[in-house]
This record gives sequence, C-alpha cells and structure tokens, in this order.
Amino acid sequence: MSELFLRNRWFEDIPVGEFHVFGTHTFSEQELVAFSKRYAPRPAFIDPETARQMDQRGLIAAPWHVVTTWMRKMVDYMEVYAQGVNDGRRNGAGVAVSHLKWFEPVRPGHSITYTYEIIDKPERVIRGKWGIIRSRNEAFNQYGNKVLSFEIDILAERNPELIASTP
Amino acid sequence: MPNAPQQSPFRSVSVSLSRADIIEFAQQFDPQPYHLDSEAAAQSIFGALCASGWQVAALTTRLLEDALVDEGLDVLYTNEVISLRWKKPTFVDDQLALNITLQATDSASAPSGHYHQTIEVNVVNQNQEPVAEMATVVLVRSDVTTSLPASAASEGASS
Repeated sequence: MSELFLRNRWFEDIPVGEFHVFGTHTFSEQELVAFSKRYAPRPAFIDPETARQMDQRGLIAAPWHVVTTWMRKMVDYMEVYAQGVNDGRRNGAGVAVSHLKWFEPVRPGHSITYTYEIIDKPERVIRGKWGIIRSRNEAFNQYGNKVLSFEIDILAERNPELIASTP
Repeated sequence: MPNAPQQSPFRSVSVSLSRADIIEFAQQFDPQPYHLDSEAAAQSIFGALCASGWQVAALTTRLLEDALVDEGLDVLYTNEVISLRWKKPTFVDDQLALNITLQATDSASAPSGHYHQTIEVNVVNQNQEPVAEMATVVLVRSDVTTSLPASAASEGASS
C-alpha cells in the first residue's frame, strides 16, 4: 500500500500547486455574537440594534471569527484523510501568517467557502526535523465575493532518511 | 496628522487562559489533540496542553483594541494583519500582555474622516518571553462628526 494520505505524508511528498476546497460554513447571528462577546466586544459585533444604526448597517462577524472558522474547516477536512493514520500527525503546527486581509463583512446567514493552495516550500529545516509548507488561503461568500485572504506557514515533518542523506 | 498619541511603546492589561478556556475554544475551532488533551499534548511538538494559536491571535486583537480605546483612539475595526508569528506556546494559566508600538498613520488610504494606523505588537508571557509578534493595521475615526460612507463600509473601507 503506497497510497499517500494528506495527513501522513512527509514534507518531501507534498507538492506545490496542490489545491483543496475545505468546505462551507454558514454563520448564524447567535454564533457571531457568542464569539464577539469573548474576543471583540464592540457594538458592531455584539449588538444588532446599535449595529443597524452604524455605517455597516447591521451586525457583522468579528474579523478573527472568519479566520478561526477556516481552522475548523481545515481540521475537519484533514481528518477525512487521516483515516488509519496511527504514527502521529506529521503535518501540524502553524508558525507564521502574512498578508491577512478582510475584504468584505460576513453577516448572519452568509455561507463562506474556504480554499487552500500550496504556493511554496521554503528550503529550511527547523529543529533538524521540520520543513515549511506555505499556503494561500481564501474565503468567498455566497455571492462569490472574496471576504478573506492570507498566507500561512505550517510545519511538516521531513523524511528522516532524506535528511540523513543530505551532506 | 490625526490625533495620534505618543509613539513610545505602551502596555496592555494582562489576561490568562484557563484549561477550560483553552479546551472550549479548541472544541469549536481547532480540535487537535495538543489543544484538547494533556496526555496527547505531552507527546506532541508542544510538550503540554496549550492554546490554539488562533485563540492567542483573537485575544491579542481584543487586548490591542481595548488598549487603543483607553489611549483615546476611536477604533472601528482591524483591517489587516501584515504579519503574525507565533514564538512560543501559551500554556494553561500563562499571563499574556502586549507591548504596543504605534507606527505609521495613513489617511490617504482611508475613507474621509478616518485613518489607518499601523501597529507593532509583541505578546509576552509572565516570564517576559515572546509568545507572538504581530504587525497589524486598524481603521480609526479621526473626526467624530464624519461617519463612514456606507459604500466604504460594505467594501471593507478599501478606498
């Protein structure tokens, strides 16, 4: 069995250009307010009455809520491909984010679709063991408008045999 | 030039995340073993149960915006994160605080009566170890008599 699953591949086996659609999440007003009460307790994000009087004309999602939901969609998506993985999770921790921009508000009832594209594999070995997978991540609402974009560097374990053979 | 406060670094209040806070967030947004289970975390790259980096990021923006409001800035929202780097895990009950440095302001890119404020943030724990570094841009109202044009609000204030 030589089949490679997304979650148990070595760094060397992960190709630049790979593209995935993690899935779609519909945000309810209740969950927007619950998140914002904790992490963005400002009228624009927690008080529908006040938000309606503001320039944004209604309650909107806290910016980080749109990003943290990306994380959930990624974990759920990767779990599908982790069936039968019993040797740990080689692909894991994020180390850095860049070029993170929010383009349009996400409102209650909006359905956001998250995409992921591997754009680079910088040639660096971290702690003698890990490589870096750089991806561009985007999110689109139900009208097809981009609401979010960012790049993230995530660690992936290098094949120990290949590291050992590198002078 | 908008009414920007002093350019020297200032500090936010400090907060901590309990075990329950960390697990609750992870269950909703980042259900990976090292954010949910102490034994699994001990075997992981982090070595112990730690908060999702996204929980630290969201908390950082909350502390930052609260601190800016305390400094007298009329903050609307965060527009952009130029860079965010996680330096060290946040473990149960670690005390996090921000060192905040205001950098450039730009009103040309913001709607009338507003400006973009670039900010450098260093998140440290109770041992003053760096936990995260963030460079971010927030939209600030400089003139309380001017409201944000509806078109700009719906387009993320891009013009």
